[in-house]
Amino acid sequence: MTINKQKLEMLNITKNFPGVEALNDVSIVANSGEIMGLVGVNGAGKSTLMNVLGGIYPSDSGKIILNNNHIQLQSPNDAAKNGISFIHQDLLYFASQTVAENIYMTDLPKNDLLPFFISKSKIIEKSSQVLDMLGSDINPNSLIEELSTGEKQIVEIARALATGSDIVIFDEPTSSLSIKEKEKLFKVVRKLKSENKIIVYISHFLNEIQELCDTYVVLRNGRLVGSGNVADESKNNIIRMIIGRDLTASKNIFKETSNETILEINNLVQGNLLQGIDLTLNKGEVLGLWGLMGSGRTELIRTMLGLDPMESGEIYLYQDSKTKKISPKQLLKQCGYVTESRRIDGLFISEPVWKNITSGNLNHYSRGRLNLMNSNAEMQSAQDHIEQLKIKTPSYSTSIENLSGGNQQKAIFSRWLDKKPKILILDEPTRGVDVGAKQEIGSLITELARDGASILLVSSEIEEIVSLSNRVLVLRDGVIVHEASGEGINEVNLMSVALGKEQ
Amino acid sequence: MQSSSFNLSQIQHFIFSYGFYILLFCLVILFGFISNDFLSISNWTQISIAACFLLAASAGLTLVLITGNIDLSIGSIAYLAATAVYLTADYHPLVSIMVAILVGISFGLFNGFLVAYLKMNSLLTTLALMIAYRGLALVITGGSMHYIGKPLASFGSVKFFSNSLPLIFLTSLFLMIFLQIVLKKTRFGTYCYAVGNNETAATRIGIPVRRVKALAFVISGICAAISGLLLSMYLGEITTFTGRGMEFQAVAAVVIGGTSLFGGRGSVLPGTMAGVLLLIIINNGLGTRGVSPYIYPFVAGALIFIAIYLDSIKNRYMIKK
Repeated sequence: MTINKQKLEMLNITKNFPGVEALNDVSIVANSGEIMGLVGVNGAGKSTLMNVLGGIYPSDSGKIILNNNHIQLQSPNDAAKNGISFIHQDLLYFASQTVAENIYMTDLPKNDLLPFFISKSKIIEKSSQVLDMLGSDINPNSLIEELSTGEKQIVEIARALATGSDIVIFDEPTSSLSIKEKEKLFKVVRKLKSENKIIVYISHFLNEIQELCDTYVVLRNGRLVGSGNVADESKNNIIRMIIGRDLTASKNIFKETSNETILEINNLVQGNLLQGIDLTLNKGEVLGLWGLMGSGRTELIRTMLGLDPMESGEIYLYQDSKTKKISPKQLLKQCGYVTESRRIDGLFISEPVWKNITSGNLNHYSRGRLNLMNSNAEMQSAQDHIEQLKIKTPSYSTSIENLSGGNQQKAIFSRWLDKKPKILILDEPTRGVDVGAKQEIGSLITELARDGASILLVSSEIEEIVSLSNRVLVLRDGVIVHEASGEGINEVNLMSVALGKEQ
Repeated sequence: MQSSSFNLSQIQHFIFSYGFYILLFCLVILFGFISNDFLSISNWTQISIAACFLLAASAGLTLVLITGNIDLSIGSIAYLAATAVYLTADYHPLVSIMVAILVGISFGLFNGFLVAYLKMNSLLTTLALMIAYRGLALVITGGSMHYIGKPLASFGSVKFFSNSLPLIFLTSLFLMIFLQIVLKKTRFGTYCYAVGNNETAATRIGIPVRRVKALAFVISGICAAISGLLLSMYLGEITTFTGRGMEFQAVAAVVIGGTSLFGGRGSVLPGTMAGVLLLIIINNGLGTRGVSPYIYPFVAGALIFIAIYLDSIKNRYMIKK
C-alpha cells in the first residue's frame, strides 16, 4: 500500500462539442484521502469533465497532471493504465458469472501446477480479500445476476480496487439505490478514502455531498463557479452557486383553473424509483412535474402509463361524472403521450409526415369490416394540421426524417391534436428544438389547456416549467417533496427544493 | 414482492435448469418399458454410434453460442474434412487426420475473421458459407460417392469392452470433456462467457473480444472436421449427404441442452451432451418401437420449439431480475 500522497490536477480544461461549449477553462485539484464532490445541474459540465478524465472524450486543450507527471488520456484504456477507474451509472458486469470472476476478470490468477489453467481458489481468496477491505459481506461465489443493484456496484468498485486504481470516479452512483444500499455504498466510499485513494463523486444531491465529501467543486454552464471545503460553506450558499444569479427571467402567469379533477393517482410504487406517489390532475390545467435527473420524473410517467411494471398504486379516471378505476394500460389508451426521445419512441422515422400525424387515430380513418384505410382523408387532415401548426415541410408526403427537430415535434403534437384526448402527457416536449419552435410549442400547450385539455408537463428546463405550469410538483428521490402554485412557482424556489433544501 | 414470489421463482429456476434432464430420464424409463430392445447393450452401442458425430460437432458449436454468435457452416466443414480424408486416402492414416483437422482450423478461422474482425452478422455469414463450403466440396468430389480406403475405415469399427464401446464415441466423449474443462478452467473459457454476457463491458475492461470470438469459431471448425472424420471412418465412404443438415440438428441439441441463443450461459457437459442424447434417443426409441420414422421430425421440431421458447422466457426472467 502506498502511503505517499497522490495528487491529481486538471488544469485549464476546455472542451467544445459542435455548437456547445461544454467546458471552459476548468481547473481542479484532488488529493488522495479526500472525497471531492462535483456538483451542478444537468448540463453544467460535470460528466464531460469526468469523461475527459476517464479518457472517453479527449479535451480540446488543458493539461492533466498526476503526481507531477503530465499524462495523456486518449482512451478508456489510457485511463485504466494510469490507475483511473470510472464507475458509470450503467454498470459493467457479466451476469451469469461469479462475483470473483467479475472482480478479477482482467487479471485471472494462474494455477501453479497446471499451465493454461486458472486457479478458482485463488480468485475466490483474492476477491474475498478485496471485498473484506471494502467491508462488504458479498459472497464471492454467488452469481452477479443474484445480486441487487447496490451489490453489483460494490463488485464494480472491488474490480477497480483489484486492478490497482488510485483514482475512482463515481457518476451519480445513488440514482437507483435504496436508502440501505446507499448507506452501504457510503461506507465503501469512505473505506476507499481511508485507503488513500483519490475519489471524485458526481452528484446533484447536496445532502449526499454534505454527508460524504470533504471538498466540493461547483460547475455551471461549463465553468468553475466555486470550490472549497464542504465544512466551510453553507448549503444555501452552494445552492446559490449551482443556480447562479442569471435566474428568474421567466415569469409564471398565474391563471385560475377549475377544481374539477380528471385524473387521480394514489400511492404509486415502483421499487426504489417511485416510493408512493399521489397526484391529481385537474381539468384544463398544466401540471408541471419538476425534478433533477434521476428523481423519477420519466419513471413516473412510464409507470402510470403501463410501460414499466407498477408494483402497487391506483389510478382513477373521472369521466362523464363517474369515477372509474382503471389500469395503467387503459390510461395509456385514454391519453396523448409525447415521449422524451422522439427519434427512439416517437416517430416512424422513414414514413411520410401524413402517416406520422394520423398514426395516433387510425380508427377514425378506417372503414368497413376490413378496416380499410381511407388515405385521402388522412392526407387531407394531415394537410390541415400542417397549416394549422405551420409545420415547415415541402409536402405532407415528405419523409419525416427530413424535417427539423422542431417541425418533427410539431408533427407529433398534431398527432395528438388529431385524436383530441382529454389528458395529454408531455415528456420533454421541447428537447432539441430551436427557440422559435420552442415558443410556438409553448403557446400551443397554453392554448390546449385553455380549450379544456389537462396537461402533465415534464421538463428538465426550469424556465419551461415556470412559464407554462399552473401548479408544479417537485420530485426528489422518487417522492413528491413539494407542491408549488401561484407565487411559489419561481426558479429559485423550485431549484432549491429539487436540490435538497429543507422546507 | 420478492418474498411472496420466492417459492414460485425457485420452482421456475429448477425447471429452467433441470427440466430437460428430467425429460431425458423419463424418456429412457418410458422407452425401456414399452420396448424390449431399448435397454439392451447392443442398442446403447447403436445409440452411442448414432450420437457421436453430432456430439463432436455440437461441442464446438456450444462455444460459439456462448460467445453470442452462431455457426451454421459446421455441416459443410464436416463434408470438406471428409473430402480431405478421401483426397489423402493413399497416405498414412495420420496424414489424413492431420489434414482433416487443418481443414477445420482454416475454415473456422475464416468464419471467425469475418464475424469477429469484419463484424459481419454470424447467422447470415455462416448461412452463406454453409452453402459455399458445400459447393466447394461438391466441386472436388464431383458430387459422387467415394471410398476412403481400408486403413482409416478400419478404425471406424473398433470397439472396446466386448464389442460394446466404439472408439469413435470415445473420441467424441473425450473431445467434450476437454472442451468443458477449457470452458470452466481456462482464461479463454472465462472470457467466452464474459463476451457472451456483455460485449460492451468486455471491450471496456480490456478483454480481447475479437480474438476470443475468432478462437471460438476455430474450435467449432475443428470439432466439425472431427465430426466429418469420424463419419467417414465409420461409413468408409463419403457421400453428398455427409454432414448435410447437421448444423440444424446441432443448434437444436445445443439449445435444448440449455445454452442460450443470447450468449453467456451454457455448458458442453452435461448440457450439450444431454441435448444430443435427447434427440438421438427419441429417434432410436421410436425406431425400436417400430413407429413410422416420419413422426421423428415432428417430435424433434416440437422439442426444439419448446427449448427455444424456454430460452427466451429464461432470458426475460433474468433481465427482469
